[in-house]
Amino acid sequence: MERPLVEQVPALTRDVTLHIERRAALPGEVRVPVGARVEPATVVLSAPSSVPRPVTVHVARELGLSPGVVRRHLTRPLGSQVTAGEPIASARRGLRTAQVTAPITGQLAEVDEQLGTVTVTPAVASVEYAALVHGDVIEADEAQRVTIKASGDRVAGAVLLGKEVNGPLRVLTDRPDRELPPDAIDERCRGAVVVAGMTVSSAALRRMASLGVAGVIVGSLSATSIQAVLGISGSEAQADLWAARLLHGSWSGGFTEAPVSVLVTEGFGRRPMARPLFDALATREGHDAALLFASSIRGETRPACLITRAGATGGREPVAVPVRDGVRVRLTDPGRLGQVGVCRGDPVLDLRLDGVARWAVAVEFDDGARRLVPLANLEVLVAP
Amino acid sequence: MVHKVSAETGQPATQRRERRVHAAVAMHADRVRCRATLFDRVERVPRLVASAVAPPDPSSSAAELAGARAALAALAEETGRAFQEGAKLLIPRQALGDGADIYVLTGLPQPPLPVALISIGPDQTLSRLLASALRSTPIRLAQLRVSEQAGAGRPSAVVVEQWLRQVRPGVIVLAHNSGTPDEWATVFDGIRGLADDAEAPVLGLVVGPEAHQEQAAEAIGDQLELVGVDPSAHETASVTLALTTELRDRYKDAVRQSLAAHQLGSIPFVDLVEALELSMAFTHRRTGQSALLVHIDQGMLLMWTHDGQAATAFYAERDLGPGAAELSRIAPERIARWLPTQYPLESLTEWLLNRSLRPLAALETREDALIASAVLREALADGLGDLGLQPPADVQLVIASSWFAELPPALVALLLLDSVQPLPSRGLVTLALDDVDLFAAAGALATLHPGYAGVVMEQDALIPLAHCIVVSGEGAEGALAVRGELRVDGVGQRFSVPYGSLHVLRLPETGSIELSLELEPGFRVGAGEPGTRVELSGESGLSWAKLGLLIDARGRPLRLPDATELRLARIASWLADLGWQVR
Repeated sequence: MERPLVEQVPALTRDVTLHIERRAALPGEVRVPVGARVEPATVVLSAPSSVPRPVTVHVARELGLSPGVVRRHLTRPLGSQVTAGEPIASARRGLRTAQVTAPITGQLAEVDEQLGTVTVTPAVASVEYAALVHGDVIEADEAQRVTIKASGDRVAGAVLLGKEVNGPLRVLTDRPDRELPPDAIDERCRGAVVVAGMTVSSAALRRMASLGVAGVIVGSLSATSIQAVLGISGSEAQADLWAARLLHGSWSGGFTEAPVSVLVTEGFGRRPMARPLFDALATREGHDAALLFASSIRGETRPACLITRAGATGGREPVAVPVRDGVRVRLTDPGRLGQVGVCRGDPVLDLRLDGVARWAVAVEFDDGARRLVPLANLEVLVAP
Repeated sequence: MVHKVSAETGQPATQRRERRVHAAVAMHADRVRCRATLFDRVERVPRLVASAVAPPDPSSSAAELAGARAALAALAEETGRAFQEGAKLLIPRQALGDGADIYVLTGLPQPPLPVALISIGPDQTLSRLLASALRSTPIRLAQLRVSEQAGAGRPSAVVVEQWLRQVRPGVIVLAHNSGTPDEWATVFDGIRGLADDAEAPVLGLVVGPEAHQEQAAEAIGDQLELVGVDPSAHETASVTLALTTELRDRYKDAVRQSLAAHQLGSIPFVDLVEALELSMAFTHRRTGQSALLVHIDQGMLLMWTHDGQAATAFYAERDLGPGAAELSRIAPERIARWLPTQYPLESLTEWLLNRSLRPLAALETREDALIASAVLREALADGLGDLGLQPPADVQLVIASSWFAELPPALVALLLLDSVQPLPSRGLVTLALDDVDLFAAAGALATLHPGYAGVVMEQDALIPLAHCIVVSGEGAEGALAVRGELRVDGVGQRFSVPYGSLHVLRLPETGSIELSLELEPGFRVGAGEPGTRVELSGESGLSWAKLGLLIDARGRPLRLPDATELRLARIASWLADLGWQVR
């Protein structure tokens, strides 16, 4: 008999301690000391965006020189910056001057006098990683990771499409079950994390992108809107790329090129945001919010919106609560996804007519209906 | 063309002199849950005793095997016997029943090894052969075509690099399909983009002429270990065998390391594909039937044994759990055509995406069950094509894995009939459910004790879901196709079935069963003459089945009306024939 997972961390937790990890893909520089207090915009790490991959140019061969004299024919001294297409070496051939140009933009790094080659090291941009939350730096490892301890509220989502972002929370609707019209999005939303209720259309997402909205929190998103916002066309290569992203069964970290980050709390289609989540967000208008992947929040299994406050300390870590009487839950099977109810009683072994037994709990829904729901189909929204 | 092994010689990998085994425990682990199954001798005969599943833990690391110990604990609770003493497994079976003589692990406890197959050039012959071979190993295969002549033009090096970053392959296979040096260079540039990734691929296999192997060595030889094979100099079969052996060994090594980390290093591991191949080969040898296995759990595995051969196709990325998102590549129109009511097409894609977000939720509503079965029809149809099984086909046994127990039996029977469209030469096809995944457990046991595993298979494997008489031929819709009489212990029950419909006859658990059929002109059963009388009895394979005996008089191949209203009505009527009212 398969026994149930009886404890879950609620999707909504308030005044809790959170550990946020900011990570660089490559080793770089930690820009804040352990113990420093940081704000969302504080740069905590900087690191190269990619590893420079030097390119070797066969100057002697191209100019018909002996390898040992290449250095004399350079047009710029070693260490100089060059741009792609710019001559880096030249030699007279009869009445003409032959040239070799730089294949990439970068630095003239080295001459090999045995082979007659010149190495150009590409210029690599540096990426800065902001804290995204208010908090205190408690760890910094190997110039690649900074851990920030923060306090605040956490609203877990189902999926985050786009980059990790932050901004002040702007609540543009008073209902969790209505689509946000594009014209509700205005200049006030620039750089903000917008709470949009049930869903947003492709047009609304495009408007957000043009206005520089950082992110949006919705109950659901249609498949059309996803493809529109991600610019996925019907081409074979795009379809392969789309499929490759879905292969892992985990959406975390995918689709980072989306012009607006979208945190979906319930799922795909047209489904209202769970009322308790919407109400919690609505009371935090103007507060600093960050949309983060699960991998950036210690102990988290889902992406989340974290609302943190300057100077806030304390609070306990989010804890798992048992599924029991009074716990507010939502359903997760595709047909009833997002329905919200309250557990009435503790889990029981439900023996179905076909002889299959499974653990279930009685749930009372907003319309007064009550039925047994398998524990596998429940997520805890709020602890009582 | 698929990787084929001989079912006649498909002997267990380890042949050794069998010592007497009383009790055996087979564990079947995937990345979410683990099932432990106990076999013991009952009146000296090896039998299935109990099966228990460890609680799923979606928060646990995918690479962990912690569930194996939890499953043993659950089995202990279920049976009242102990199997562990601290970290130690109890071996051998003790007088009071604790412990077991052997423990074996099967399944796919580690994520399948990601493999990228890049086809270079316009001709797809070689890549198809390689893909078929790779599909017989526990890998997650992703394919990309780099060709000037491909539909949307040749992908750039940047697209190749992006694609590889998403796929994150451990192994890259480059297949020469008459690609130009430029096309090859594009691929190398894409691969070079991954040079500094922490999760960069470690092995590259270049299947192409010497010149391209040299080109590869120069371009990416310092980045990954390269192995080159010139397909014009070697038999394709030997190339694919070497490739599949290498990949299977790599997977086993990874699992063994994980087992050792959990102090379970003494447990032999048999990967799911190998275990199922052994059970299917055994079934084919014993019955001589053309049999199809449809295994769905974390991934979809299809296996077809027929005429002394076996074909396998494993799709790690396609299932109705985490792999549901991959199934969103199936055109929603194809899914919708199997539904009895109209759905917005976009909602079907969203259903699959939602399923991939919450893969463990049970399918509770009738609508969910209908959509799931519609999706599976098309997913199966695609997979069967890769197996070389083109419906309608001579298949006499269709086996569905335990996942199908999630769906109502009538829906399972209908989806199997619709997707496989069996046209058995003897007229009768059996649909069976492997409700506790005993095929995998027995296959794993067979590598250690084939005799013991064989008895278990014969005694306890498979629950007959339905037997089905397939009536082929064509007629006017609603016109009589067949009449008949079912006699149970001599008591008769007459019936008639019009063309285009199904009919269910309940079968008793005990008693003699005889069936006589009078076919209308133009209709036949199996290889019989049209319009003749057919007699079947228990000796022909008729016995109790959960749903009973189905008479499928819908003809072959199945035809769905193009007009929407007619099609919806047709699907609804088939469901109703099996006792499943749409509304």
